[in-house]
Amino acid sequence: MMNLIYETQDSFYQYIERVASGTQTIADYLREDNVGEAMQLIAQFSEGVAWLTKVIVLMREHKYHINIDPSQINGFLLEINDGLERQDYVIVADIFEYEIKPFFEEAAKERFYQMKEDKN
Amino acid sequence: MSVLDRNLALIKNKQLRERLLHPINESIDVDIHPSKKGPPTMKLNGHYLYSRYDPLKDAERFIDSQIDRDAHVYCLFGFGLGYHVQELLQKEPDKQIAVIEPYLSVIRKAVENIDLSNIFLHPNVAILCLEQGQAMIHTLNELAKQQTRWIIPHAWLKALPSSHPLKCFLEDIKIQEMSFQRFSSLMEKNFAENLKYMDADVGKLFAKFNGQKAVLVSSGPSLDDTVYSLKRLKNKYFILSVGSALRVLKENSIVPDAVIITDPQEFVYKQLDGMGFTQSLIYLSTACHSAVANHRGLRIIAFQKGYPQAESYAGKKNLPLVDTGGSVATTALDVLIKMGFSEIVLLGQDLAYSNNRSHALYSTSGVEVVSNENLLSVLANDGTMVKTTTILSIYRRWFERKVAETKHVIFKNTAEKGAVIQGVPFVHISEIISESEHLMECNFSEKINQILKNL
Repeated sequence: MMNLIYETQDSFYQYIERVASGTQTIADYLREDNVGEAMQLIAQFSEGVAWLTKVIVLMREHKYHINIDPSQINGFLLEINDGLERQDYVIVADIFEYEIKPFFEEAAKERFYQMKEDKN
Repeated sequence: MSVLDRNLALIKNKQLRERLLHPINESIDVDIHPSKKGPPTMKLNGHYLYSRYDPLKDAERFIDSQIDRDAHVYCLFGFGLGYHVQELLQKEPDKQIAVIEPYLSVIRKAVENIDLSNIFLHPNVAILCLEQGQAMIHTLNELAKQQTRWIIPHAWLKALPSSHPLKCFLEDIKIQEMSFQRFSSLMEKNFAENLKYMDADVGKLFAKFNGQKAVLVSSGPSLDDTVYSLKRLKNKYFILSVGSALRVLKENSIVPDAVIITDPQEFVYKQLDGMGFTQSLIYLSTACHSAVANHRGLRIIAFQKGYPQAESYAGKKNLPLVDTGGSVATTALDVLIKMGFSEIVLLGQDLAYSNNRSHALYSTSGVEVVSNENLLSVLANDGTMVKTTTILSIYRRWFERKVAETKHVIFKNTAEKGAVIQGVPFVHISEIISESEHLMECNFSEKINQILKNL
């Protein structure tokens, strides 16, 4: 069980680094009007961050905590959806490059730590 | 001397300068504000033309992606704050650049706020404001004759109101460019693979069906109401089905005379796999090659206009080209016209989300229930309003143009709740069935076999 937890955490760290560089690629595609490629990556991005959120929540159940706020990730997804619906790709590119990318660059520095058992 | 005065003094186009000096009455919303980085950014009709964070970097990346060393002239749509022109000048200083800006208010905002002296002083830049009417049309026509790279920023196109006369035309160009850009490597691979099969080309069938009639089966929702008719029309009408409608036909025990596929993506494989279809497959040279390889019947390749490799190959072999219009049904229509049919009946060609559904039941494109408020509304054949999308509207305009230039063919549309296609009157499917009773029978599959065998 412990192995599985550590393996998942490792995958989490590797993935979060890839997300940070992927967000720049999405922004670049959008700025080049290469909307098709950007859309494919955005779909992968949403699946990826959904997985990251799930890992954060599951780790909490096993008393492992990380200093990343899943609700902020959710907020980004809502903003992106809104921009995509209006086909305002300038705003979507800005969100990826100047909001999501720095968020994940910071998040990539974080590590899971074990919370102390509540003695009460 | 203010920025405005300095800029105005440098504008070579006298007429433009005069117009900028007078009050402007345009019903558009232009907003300019500093970006996070400092230089101003612009919002036109609620859409940002450049990044709110770093507009200059944004403009640089966009223009980088648009450079075409083979182009002789650039035609850029939207002056905005001049950032795209500045970048283009830096990267291609020796080429002619025509900038088309429909709104004087936009140019006015730019000359009030940005030092544009290098643009106005540059001998290669011409700024055209759309109100210049006939002169503008003449200029666009002249540009179209040269090796021109058209640069249409998506953000600018979105900001252009739907009522603007240029909007539809530019959307057509942009969509084709975007889809080409997206699938170019896949298309290249498919093209190379498909050529290896050495299949007969569709040109062999051209003008061989003069005076006969055809049905083009697409997978719009109305196909559910009309599909039954195909049993009666079989061997009277040549039945050409798009790939995604094949499953609908199979569910109704109908075998079309031919199926057509054009999309380069892998999903096309699933449209045909396991359907037991062994009649002719007409495929575009760049269509999904695994679907072509998997087909067990006769295969017929079509080379398309607008894809340089196909044009060059067809040119060398003296083969005719087909118009694609961007979708499988538009390509199919052009193929049917060129095959010589005197009447073409459209089935399942809704070009709209009739009954709030995207496709017929059992279609391999999947039936999506549609509830998006942002959809456009268009008039349907039954007089009601029906929801549609920009892309479907573009295909509809293609149909309308094609039909208008094809006077010798009678077109009929059977999609009662589908969008009205100008030039293609609605005819109830029951009328088509009764007319078919007087037609001579023809085994079309056999006829195709004979034509290709006798070559």
